[in-house]
Amino acid sequence: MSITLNHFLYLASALFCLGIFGIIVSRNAIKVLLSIEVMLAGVTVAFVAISRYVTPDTIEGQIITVFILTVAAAEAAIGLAILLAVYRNYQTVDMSRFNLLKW
Amino acid sequence: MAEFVYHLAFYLMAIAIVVSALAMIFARNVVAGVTCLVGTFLGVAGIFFLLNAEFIGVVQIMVYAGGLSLLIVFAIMLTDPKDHEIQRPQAGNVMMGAVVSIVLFLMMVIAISTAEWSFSDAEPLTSQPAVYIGIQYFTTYIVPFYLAAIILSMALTGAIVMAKKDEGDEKC
Repeated sequence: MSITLNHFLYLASALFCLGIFGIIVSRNAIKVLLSIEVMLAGVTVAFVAISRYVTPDTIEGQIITVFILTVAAAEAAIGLAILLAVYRNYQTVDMSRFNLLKW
Repeated sequence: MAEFVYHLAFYLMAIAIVVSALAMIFARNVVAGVTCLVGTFLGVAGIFFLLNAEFIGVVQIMVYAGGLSLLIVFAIMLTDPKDHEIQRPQAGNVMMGAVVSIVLFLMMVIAISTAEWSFSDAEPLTSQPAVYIGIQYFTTYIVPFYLAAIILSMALTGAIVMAKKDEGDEKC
């Protein structure tokens, strides 16, 4: 039984679901950002695996992966800046304690 | 023999990725969580090396395991250390999250295992893939490349403006 595309895709979906699990479970805002990074890592694994098995000669998945990387870096920078602004106003990073937007 | 090494590397790295992601979620200290996340990123880079994507693997190590984790550690240091010694996830949240993510994972597994992939038999691109990727960025993918540059500069400028201390007394 050799390793095929499906194995890599199972790993990618496991990573994505672990990221969703982390977002639901964690109460610390920084951990939510970390979980989003785990989800994006799963997506990049899926892209690179498909580019290896479906288009190995024109590696399009790898090219798209760098764009995902860019968006992930931008998202992390913005998220951490929002976190610092929230911390200055509320003195906490606990997700259950800045409930300004809760109805 | 080579195939056995390939399998061993894949399964070891898959186990390392999943275990360190779980350790990140359940870590009590957030700095320890970031360290576990670096383990996940290094494992993902290893998976990229297995998939003949050396360029993306090296970029993954430099950007994620190097830069991004350092950025997050700085954000942790700029906020209150008391907040980061919180209790572990609550049991009710863990139950709910486990149900949601396991159901989603099973749906994805069913979809993947029943899909018909159009595999290509072409030779993998092995000679100078980084040169090929660079040429592609400046010819076919020039518009997304510029858009990515604009997004990155806008995001970093906005992050500086948001995180900057206010001059006056009023809160932002």
